[in-house]
Amino acid sequence: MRCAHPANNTNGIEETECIAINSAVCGNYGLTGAPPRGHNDQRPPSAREYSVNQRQPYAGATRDGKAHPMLDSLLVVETPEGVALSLRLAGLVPRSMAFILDILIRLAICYALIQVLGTLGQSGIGLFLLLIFLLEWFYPVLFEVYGDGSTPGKRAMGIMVVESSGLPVGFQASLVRNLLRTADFLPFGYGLGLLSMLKTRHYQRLGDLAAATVVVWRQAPRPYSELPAAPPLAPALRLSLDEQLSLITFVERLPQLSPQRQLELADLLQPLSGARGQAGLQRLIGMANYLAGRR
Amino acid sequence: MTPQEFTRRHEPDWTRFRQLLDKDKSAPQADFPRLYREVCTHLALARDRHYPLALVDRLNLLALEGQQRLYRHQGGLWLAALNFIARDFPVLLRQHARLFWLAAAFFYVPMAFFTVAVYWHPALAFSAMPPDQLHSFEQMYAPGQKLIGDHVRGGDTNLLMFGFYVMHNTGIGFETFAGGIFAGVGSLFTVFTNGVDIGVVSGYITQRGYGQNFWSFVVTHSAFELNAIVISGMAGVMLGLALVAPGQQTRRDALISRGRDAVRLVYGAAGMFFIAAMIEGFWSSSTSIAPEVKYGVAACAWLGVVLYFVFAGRGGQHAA
Repeated sequence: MRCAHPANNTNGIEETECIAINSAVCGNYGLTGAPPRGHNDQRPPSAREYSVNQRQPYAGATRDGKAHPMLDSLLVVETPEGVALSLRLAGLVPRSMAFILDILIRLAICYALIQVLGTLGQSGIGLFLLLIFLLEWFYPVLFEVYGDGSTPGKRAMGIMVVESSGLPVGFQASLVRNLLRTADFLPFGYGLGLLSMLKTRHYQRLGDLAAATVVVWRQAPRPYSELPAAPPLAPALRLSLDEQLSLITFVERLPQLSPQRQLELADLLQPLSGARGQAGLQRLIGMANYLAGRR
Repeated sequence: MTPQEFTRRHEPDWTRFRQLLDKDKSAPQADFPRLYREVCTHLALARDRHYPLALVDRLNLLALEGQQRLYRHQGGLWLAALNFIARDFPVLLRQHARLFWLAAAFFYVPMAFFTVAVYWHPALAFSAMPPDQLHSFEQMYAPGQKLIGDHVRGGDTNLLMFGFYVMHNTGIGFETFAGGIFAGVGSLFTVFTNGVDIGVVSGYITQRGYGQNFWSFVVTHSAFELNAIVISGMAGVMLGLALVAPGQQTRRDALISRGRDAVRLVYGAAGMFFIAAMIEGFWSSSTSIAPEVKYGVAACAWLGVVLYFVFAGRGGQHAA
């Protein structure tokens, strides 16, 4: 079995192979094929085995060796340093909210301009029109190029524009994506842009497609925190590498779950922990600590 | 190595790197590249060894921010702008001369046709444009105005008109370009309708007898403005052709690579619109300059534009 996480199960055929927690519950390697390397003896796996250097593509892969993209909103880019960076793509909702915020900010600027330039008579109106023009077409470009890829609205939403290579967005790319707003706007209310964002894998509107840019979260949201500390406890069952990872990830995610949900999920692992309720949960936390190398 | 041992061993490097990232961007940081490469290596190791996701996430974020910092775009904007005007823009235009002529045909042919047609059959004007619109155009060029071509009712300052022209005309140019993403049809359509409208108005106004006022007003800035519309349309068609005829590339790649060139044409067109707006606001609209002088200057402007596009940047790299 290869899939590390139930969420990776994008292909129904591998259902029996993928759900690590289930097989941990059953303790049944018959379902999952041969026991993994390094687990042929009866002793519990050591942390050294946990860090076994097993070659595995970053994207989920199946037994036939073909890589399947994860069902996930990650964009993986490879840098010249030869390392794959993952960017978290921002979807429709944060982008729309950033857009609305930007509109409000621009309206506020317009209002201020009217107040100031309105006193200057006709020349003031001329200047106002000029500034409105610059505001309409260059506000996003200037902020994206000189403001780390974010207009104020995007910054408030915690998202930014980058080129699809992951590099900061340049002047040309930013101009392309912002000039093509007009095309995205058609037939009305950003209809094509919305459609394009929903249909493309990286949530790109037409301007993004032509400019090769994507909008990503400025800072990865933190779904995983440090392991909650507990006295380390060796698991009673043999766990495969993926099962170990699943357990650690589960414990890392605990702070995001409500206490009831924590117990509900922990109870599923009763065959592993040998206890229900709070006691079982504590033992699982201990096992995760053990597996992560705390002794 | 356990994840905790790994963290303990490399934590100082990561903290140092985080400090460098949070510091002022412009300050030179000698060990930044080295630390960045270290972090990249650590990230690759952490992934390969299936270390906890919290650790992988943390390293990923460090590497990502490091990459953004190391490869950021910086400086050279003014030199690039100068090079663009002196060489790149006319060279780019000549490179895609056929597209230019296509867009020009969609613009100048209907314009010339309707100028002549409406001049001979003024009734034709009313089937192409609503009467009140024609009437307001007529008023703009009627004798006795403070400024000729007064688009903004009651406007009597040059600056007002300049602001209006920049916003209005350049906006049209940008929209013309954006329409090109629909297989180029949107751009050609906008270019065509603009050509028709301009032709109808010029034929109609001339027929009404305000020709002197009208032609002396439009002829100078049109050297920049009309060609800028054509170039915007041409850029739009370039974009559209990337989708229709991507050649050896995928449609997406063609769109990206030609989009960059197309946008450079749009910069150029925007610059021309800006020049046109300045002429239109401060020179063309003046009533104190004799029409003959305006015609003379206009001839120079047209000649200048043509010479610029035909000859500028032909000297190779040394010309700039």
